Amino acid sequence: MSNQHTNIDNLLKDKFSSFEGDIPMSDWFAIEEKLNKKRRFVWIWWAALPLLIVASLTIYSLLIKKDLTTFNKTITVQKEKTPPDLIVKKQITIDKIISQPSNSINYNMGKRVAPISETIIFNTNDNSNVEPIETKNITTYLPESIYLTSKTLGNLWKISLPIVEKIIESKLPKPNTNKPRLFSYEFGINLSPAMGIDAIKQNKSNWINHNYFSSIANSSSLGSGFNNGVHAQINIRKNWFIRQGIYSTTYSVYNNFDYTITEFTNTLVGKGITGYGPLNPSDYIHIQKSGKASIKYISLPLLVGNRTYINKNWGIESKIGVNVSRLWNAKGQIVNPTYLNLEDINSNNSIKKWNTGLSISSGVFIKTNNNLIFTVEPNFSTLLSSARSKDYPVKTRYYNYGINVNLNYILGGNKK
Amino acid sequence: MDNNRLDEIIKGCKNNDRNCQKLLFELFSKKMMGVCLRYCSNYETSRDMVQDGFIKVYTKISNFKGESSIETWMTRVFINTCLSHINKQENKNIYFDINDPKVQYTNENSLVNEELVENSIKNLPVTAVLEYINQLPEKYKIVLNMYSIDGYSHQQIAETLDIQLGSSKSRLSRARQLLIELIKEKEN
Repeated sequence: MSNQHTNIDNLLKDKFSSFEGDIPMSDWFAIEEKLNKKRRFVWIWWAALPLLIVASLTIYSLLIKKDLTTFNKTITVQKEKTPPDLIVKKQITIDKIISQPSNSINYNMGKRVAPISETIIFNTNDNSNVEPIETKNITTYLPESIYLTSKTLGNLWKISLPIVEKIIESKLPKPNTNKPRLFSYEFGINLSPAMGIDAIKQNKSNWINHNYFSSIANSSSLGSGFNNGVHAQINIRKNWFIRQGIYSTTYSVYNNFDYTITEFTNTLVGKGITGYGPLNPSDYIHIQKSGKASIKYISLPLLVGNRTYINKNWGIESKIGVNVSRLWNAKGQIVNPTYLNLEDINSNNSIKKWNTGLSISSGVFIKTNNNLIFTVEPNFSTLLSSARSKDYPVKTRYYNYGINVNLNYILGGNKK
Repeated sequence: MDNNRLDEIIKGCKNNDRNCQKLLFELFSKKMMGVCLRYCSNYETSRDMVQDGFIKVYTKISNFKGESSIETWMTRVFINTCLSHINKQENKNIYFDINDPKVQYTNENSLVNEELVENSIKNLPVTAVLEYINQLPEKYKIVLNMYSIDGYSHQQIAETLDIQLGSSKSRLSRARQLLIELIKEKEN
């Protein structure tokens, strides 16, 4: 019986050893689509990670530790000749925290007027021409709003400290410190059109057949680019920042080659041109080719920058950074200057999938009173290596001269 | 295809090279479709399994160390894909029963015309044999496929399907018996 089973098993094994089923080639495209989606999904989550971190930090800053009930502070008010109730809201700044209260005996939830235990410091701001008018210490309580009345000024001053401000202050680990907070967080959008005839150009010096093309007249390459996306930023103290985001970058290329071949070339397929020789004038060939294409990348930029304040509301912003770019979509046709034909860049797979890039920009920023920062700056960016695949004979590097337009919003931390 | 070329394709797949992935698909898709047809019966389901299986292969190919041939490794991946699908889809508890008492003993009468059955398997076209196999109840068909055609041991089957060793043996016995009866009935 066992032998018979072995026979049947062997027979079945032999029968199916070369068994195959028909499967349409179109199924490959379904697999490819699934693979692309999978990669896209992973990519998006990695890109979103820094944004999530900044958002989490901001939410933590705003919402956590609401249950802290008390804190003390010194309030600085600038002396002005104008009616004080007009300027108080603008001029009050929280200067420092004096100490945590030793007990909560004075806690009084029912009253909006906080019990004043000592004196309020009415001090000058940074204007040295203004003298202090009065100094007091005060114990205040959260989550109540605080309304203080200065007897010295004849009950003219009502000071309201928003709760949000108090919460931010109250989460400082060391209440007695005089140091300003180190970090703040920003979130912003970036729109960067690239302009000009050389907005994108092919780097002819990197072409392997450089000598050949140095003699070509009337060939040109025009282009435009567009770079947009969102970013998150951590400011370190007042001037320095690190920015990370996710941008979409589009290069639109228009090539026009119009020339006459006066020499023959020796080529090895896939290896480029290996030598040149003169042609008889009767054999000259005039070639005119033009093509246009659009190449889109998704990039993750990491930038380090500096903001130098000229005054409180505006200054100079400069930044430099690197990015990793992933080819998102390529379509259209580009002139292949080696083989003198139009290439479909979508199908020949000559565009490299992953690239690294460099960008430098410097311009003017304006900071509004509602924590918006608007920046306009000339920008230069380039891919650090050829955009074409490694074994492709023609090297192409994209340059982008453009204008960055950024709009940022300070989400949390030290907003000064 | 020579081994060097195949190694290059595998290396390319490990580097996520789309061209190499396509080449791997072109090389093995029909063979893997054959595997899926044996386990899933239905043509459309088998196509889905081929797609899912190749996604798994591309995702996990970095785990392939070359200890077996790529075809053997891929076949295991596709079998697991089919089994996982069958388990989810049918929810028939095919993996979790205990020994089936009805199939503890082989019907000796069924062995009488063994030559006839063997000749039938030899002479019938593979699609006809597949049709017979596909008529078997799923739990028998799976064990028959795994043991007789794909070369799994009973221990491996038991571990893969999470059943007892005895169940694997009894299901195989029952599968053979049913297959023989089916062939005899039809061919007579």
